[in-house]
Amino acid sequence: MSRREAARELNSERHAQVFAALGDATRLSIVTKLLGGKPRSISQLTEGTRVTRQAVTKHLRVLENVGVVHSMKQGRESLYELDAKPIEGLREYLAVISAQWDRALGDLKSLLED
Amino acid sequence: MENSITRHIDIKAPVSKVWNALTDSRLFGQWFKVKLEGPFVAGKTTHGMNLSKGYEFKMEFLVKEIKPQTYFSYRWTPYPVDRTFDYRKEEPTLVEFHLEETPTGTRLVVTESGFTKITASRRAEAFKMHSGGWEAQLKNIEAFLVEA
Repeated sequence: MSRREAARELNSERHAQVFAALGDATRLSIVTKLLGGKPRSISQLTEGTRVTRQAVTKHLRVLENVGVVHSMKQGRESLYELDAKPIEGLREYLAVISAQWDRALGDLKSLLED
Repeated sequence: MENSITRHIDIKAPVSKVWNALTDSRLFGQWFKVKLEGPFVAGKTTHGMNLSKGYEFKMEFLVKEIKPQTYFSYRWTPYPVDRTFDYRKEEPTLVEFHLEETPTGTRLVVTESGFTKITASRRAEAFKMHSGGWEAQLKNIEAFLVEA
């Protein structure tokens, strides 16, 4: 499978956008906090950080847009939960790129050793 | 989940031969299956066309550094697969080749990095903010995914 093919296949996950969403320290720390699987509120996610509630809200929206977190209403609060699927998609994408390099390097080896 | 990919291969050929196959754009094109217009020159962009059947598309190699017989690197831009997404905003990934002499020939190590697009300054910030830092957090996510 070519990289382009793989990219197309994984396109539904919009891997490029997921990469971009995770390429931010605050957002990555939010994801880390949600790793336990327990849904958390904005207040809980803001606690103990130097980031404002507004900033956390904004970052959550970015993560929500790429499907890495989902929100649900609980009373007056929104709780946020991690969805690992898009991150799995990235992992698959990297695995395909690795396989692609292995194939290319294998071709180089045959070219030079023949 | 890593921010980079590293692969290596041992080739029964002298370093000079492997070096030529990497940095002579015509030879590179042979094994990489890409038709390149012009040589690789540090600081310059080499345009090319992927030759894999059904996947003929334009490629750009932004050559970064050429250290004879030891190191070769370029950046390339992601393929514009999704027309609704502006890939020009994406940072190109960095591809680096390291060559090492071994008793049987050459070890070639290739690293592709920059997938998570975090800038150096942001990474430094991440290290300040969290004791474990960026890499540790990625490892946590990786561990989580393996268990899931």
